[in-house]
Amino acid sequence: MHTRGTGQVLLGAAGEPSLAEAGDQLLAVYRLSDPTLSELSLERLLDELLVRVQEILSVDTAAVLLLDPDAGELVARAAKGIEEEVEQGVRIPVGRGFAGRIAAERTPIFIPDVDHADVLNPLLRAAGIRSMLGVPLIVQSKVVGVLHVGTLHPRTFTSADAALLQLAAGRAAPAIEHAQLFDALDREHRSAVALQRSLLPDVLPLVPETDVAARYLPARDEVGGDWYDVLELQGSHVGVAIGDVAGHGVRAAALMGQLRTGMRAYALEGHGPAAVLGLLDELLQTIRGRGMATAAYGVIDAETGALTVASAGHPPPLLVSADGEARLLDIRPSPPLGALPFASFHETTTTLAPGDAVVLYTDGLIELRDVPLAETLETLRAAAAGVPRNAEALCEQLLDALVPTRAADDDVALVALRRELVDGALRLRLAADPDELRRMRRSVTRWLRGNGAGDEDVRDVLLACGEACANAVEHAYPPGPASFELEATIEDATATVAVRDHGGWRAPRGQNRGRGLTMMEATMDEVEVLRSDTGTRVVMRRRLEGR
Amino acid sequence: VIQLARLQLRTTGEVVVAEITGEIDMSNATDLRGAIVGALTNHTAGLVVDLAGVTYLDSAAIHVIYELREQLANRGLQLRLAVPPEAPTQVALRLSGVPDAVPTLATVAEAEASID
Repeated sequence: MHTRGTGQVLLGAAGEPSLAEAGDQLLAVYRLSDPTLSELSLERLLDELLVRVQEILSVDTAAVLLLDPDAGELVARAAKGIEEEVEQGVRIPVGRGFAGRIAAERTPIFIPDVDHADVLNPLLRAAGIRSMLGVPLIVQSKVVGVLHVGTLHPRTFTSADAALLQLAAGRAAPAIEHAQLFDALDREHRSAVALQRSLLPDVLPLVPETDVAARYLPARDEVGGDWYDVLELQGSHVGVAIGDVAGHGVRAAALMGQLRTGMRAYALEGHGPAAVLGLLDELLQTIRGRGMATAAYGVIDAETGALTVASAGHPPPLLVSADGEARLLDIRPSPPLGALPFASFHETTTTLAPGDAVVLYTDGLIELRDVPLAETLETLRAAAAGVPRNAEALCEQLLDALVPTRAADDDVALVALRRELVDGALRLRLAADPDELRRMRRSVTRWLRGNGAGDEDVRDVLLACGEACANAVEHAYPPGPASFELEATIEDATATVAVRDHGGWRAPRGQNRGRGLTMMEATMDEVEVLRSDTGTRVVMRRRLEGR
Repeated sequence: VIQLARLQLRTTGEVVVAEITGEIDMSNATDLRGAIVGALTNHTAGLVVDLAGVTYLDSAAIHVIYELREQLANRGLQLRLAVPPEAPTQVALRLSGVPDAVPTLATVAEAEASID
């Protein structure tokens, strides 16, 4: 033990203790090494320990500073009598000042007179502390912090005092290390989960005539590398993707982000499923420390229901028909991405009738371990059977059957896409937002085609609908969400389209709107504009020529 | 979400050619105009807007064409449209009198050649 300051010598134990003193010391030893302390959280353990230290050593202040190894500083974490130290987050560089030297020299230090010593922390002087004793907190020969006590009157701490303080330090140190380790792991887990979340789409695109839903469940303990995606492609095409990077943790999640972005880029360029997987496989070869992934990518033509899928080592897509029949798509298997040089990927095609659904999923859903593949797939098939109301319900039904606790060992991703049933009428509720116009045009085009309209019919009706809906968007008064409705019906080859908004009528402004009305009248057989206090209703009719 | 329209700008000598593909409506018409006008410099004599690859346009697009016409006229620049006779946008353009107001030619080459 070193002595600092005025050069006063630290005394050894002052003679033989009395029996009563020996009993007190034994109790003190017990109270400081109390095993039940380790059951407390770090915060409460330090709190309780400092209270006991204060009582047993009859000191006015007691404090614990923990080492921040990255900064090379001690940070005040718990204190009694000098609570400001913690509140102000006092930081002491290792090697400097009283506490800093204890950590650097790994040895207890006694300061008989603070006024004449190298004490860095201004709070200690301000508190009027005269004498101090401090010991390092050591776990497996690593310093994790410093425990020190102080008195407001001059005091000579004995080696017995130092021994008791070291006992308390010995009780606190492992708990501190454990808590820090846990904190670090917890932080890593949380940041990995946040990363994973940020890499998945937060909102799925609204795709006309298709009903889309997706789920992602993180693994119980570790983040995984599952992803899904839905993309609106050119024309009436919709891309749907799923993937699973081998491994867990931040690295898997980061690779997943790269692959998902790569897949989006290739898909938006218009490549088909096999080509997208081929390009993704090549991309993976260029990524350092690359790893492996399974993935499936499908393109659906929402107009015809044609579905083309390619799979890179991924479990087969699940098809659920409108009448509730479930089957697995018989795909030609290809190797996982990053598994083989010069791999080639194959496409399988099928057709989704209106009301049919396709589900892509990762193996977390079917927990492939220990059970023969055929059996798990049969379980999956059985879980999907029954008539689903919509894609959301289908996702829920599968999870209820296969992951009822919503917590699995592996992460789970699934995405379901259902082709909507079309009856004779088309009803759309649209937000009063210019971006909704394209969605309206896609839906109206599909509806017209389904009712025997030709190119000219489509072109003309679309132009009229576009103008009527643009009017409705402009009439909607901000603020607040506003919407309008379009209803299209067909009778005796005559299409009737009604567009109704809820805004107050405004006279056409400038040439622009006047032009709109001209176009509507020129392209439709009949146009009626009905204005009222509650909104405007435009009803248009046109005989479909089939041209 | 895919882009509703794509714009490619190229400058040959004193002529700027703006090739638009996709659809034009009130959600992107003004942005397209801004991007096209931004490509005009002090050395520009004329602008060709190539609509051959446009599958749909509405009155918001027509409005932008008229705005472009006015803006270019104020700067002493010439505006041409390139629209093939069979283009699906012909109906909307004709209904709003565009070919009478802005010289409209079948190809970009013809439109470029007509700028003096």
